[in-house]
Amino acid sequence: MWRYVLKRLGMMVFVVLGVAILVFSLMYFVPGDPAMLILGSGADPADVARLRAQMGIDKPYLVQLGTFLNNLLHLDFGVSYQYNTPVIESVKERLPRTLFLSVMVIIFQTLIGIPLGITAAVNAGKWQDTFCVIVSMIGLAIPGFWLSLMSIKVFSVNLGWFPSFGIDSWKSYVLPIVTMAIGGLSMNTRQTRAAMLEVIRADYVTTAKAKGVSAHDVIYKHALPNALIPVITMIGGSFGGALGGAIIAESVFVMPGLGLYLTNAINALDYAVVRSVVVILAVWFSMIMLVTDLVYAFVDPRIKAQYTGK
Amino acid sequence: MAEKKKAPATAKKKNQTLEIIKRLARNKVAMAAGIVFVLLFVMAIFAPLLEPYDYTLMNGKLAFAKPSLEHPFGCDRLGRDLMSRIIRGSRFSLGMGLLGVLCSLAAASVLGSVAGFFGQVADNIVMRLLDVIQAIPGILLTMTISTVLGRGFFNTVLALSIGGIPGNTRMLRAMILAIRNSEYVEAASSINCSKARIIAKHILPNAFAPVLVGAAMGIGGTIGQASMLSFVGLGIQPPDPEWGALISDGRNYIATYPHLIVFPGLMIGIVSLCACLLADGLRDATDPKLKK
Repeated sequence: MWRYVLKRLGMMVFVVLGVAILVFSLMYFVPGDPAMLILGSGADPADVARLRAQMGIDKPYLVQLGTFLNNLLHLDFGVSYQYNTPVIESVKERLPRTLFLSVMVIIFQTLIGIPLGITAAVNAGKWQDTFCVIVSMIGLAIPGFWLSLMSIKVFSVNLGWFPSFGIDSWKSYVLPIVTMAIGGLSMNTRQTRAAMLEVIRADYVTTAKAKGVSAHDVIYKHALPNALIPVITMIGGSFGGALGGAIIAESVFVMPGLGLYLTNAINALDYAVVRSVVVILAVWFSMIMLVTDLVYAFVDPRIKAQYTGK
Repeated sequence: MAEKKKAPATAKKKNQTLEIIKRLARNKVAMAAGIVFVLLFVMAIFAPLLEPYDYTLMNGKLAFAKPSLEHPFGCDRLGRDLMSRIIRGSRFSLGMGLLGVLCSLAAASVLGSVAGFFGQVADNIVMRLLDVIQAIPGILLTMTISTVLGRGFFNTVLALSIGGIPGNTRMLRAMILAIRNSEYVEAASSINCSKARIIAKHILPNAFAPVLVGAAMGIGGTIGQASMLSFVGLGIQPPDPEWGALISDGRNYIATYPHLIVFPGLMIGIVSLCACLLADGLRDATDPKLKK
């Protein structure tokens, strides 16, 4: 088992390194000169050249890449020209909010989506099933940011139950979490239903039924544990979607998280911020996927056997 | 001689396509979704003829007009007819959805085939590259690429298709591996079929159906992503009436004039829903296991 953990850890180091190089290179080839952008188009060429030298963007690509990677190692993400503050300070303050939002989205969509999927599969063909299928289909089709805006109209403006922006109390988090979870919730419902239906048709479930195991025990003791194995991967994978949802939700509900920081930076062409935020979020995503893979390996005896058998 | 040989093959193929269409036709929900879907594309093609008003025509008196008989969807902040703008905007949204999916699938099929066919080394290189790209969560990747490429129709299509490549490549590679190891391919190679023939006659036709399903599924998602890009300030920007741009144009007036964002959002929802239902129907119709 430890060999597997080590292998995955080693892979993660390379993936993170790859992401850092990829994002840096993408940003390197953005048309436009950051120094020119800061000073304005009418700036003195000598001033521009001085700022370029100060920012280190007059050096060759490989030197810049090396500096960037080295700085990343020391958690130095550069300075945001827009706010004139080190990126790391904003990240320290904002990252927990974004992570909290995405984790809550995942918890919400998992706690509701999986039971809905199980209910649908157990009652296949009955009204509960039809209901879940229709609702999850609609939930997948509606864009999350639109749902957020509509929820502001209904629950903030008309009913006044929740604030429409900011992070003043727990109430501020209700609308972003619920509206951004709808898509993932629908996805969870559909996939749990599919996984469960597949397992219910498996031979060993038929055997259990033939032995006279009660219907309840067949579903919850025989079928469910196996149906949940693919669902675990799904939960881990949905962290990416939840992060994306959090970024958009922060923009809609004006929540001072990493997502709002990023979208503002994109519009202001603040590249130091954009590349740092993308790399940081990618590292978090990779870590979550690593944990998912490890959990998966522990619960799935087939993967465990591959590594302990040898 | 060659023609004689060809005839039965095409006849058989036609039958199979017919069979699939017949099975799809029996699925009323999928058929209805498919018809709406096609009608929406017809609307996009003939947009200039269908718009009740000029989509750029401003009329100060009608600013923020609520939906009425003359203006079924109301008017925007500059008094432009929203229905005309949505109809014109379908060209942007549907065009980006369709082109984005097609480009993405084309690039992914090249990468997927390289990974699936050309042995361990190529497979490893492609897959490790995908690992790196997919470590960046989906919408974040598309946003980053869109930042690099800049705004505008074709840049956004490119960003959307690059964003879709990793997922599509994985899907195609898995499918190619499954088909390559299947018994009928083994049978074909055992009677000495050439590699080219196996790929053209056996693998591609069998790979086509799942790709079609994936494409139908992808269009809805891509349109949603495109509108999200416009919403955060990338993609297509106002005054171009892409549906996401319409929503971001109207977001500041949500408290008083919600019709500005209700209708464009509903359009995105309807397209995605139809694409989803059509994809489900297609999957069932092309699945030989469900043949009755």
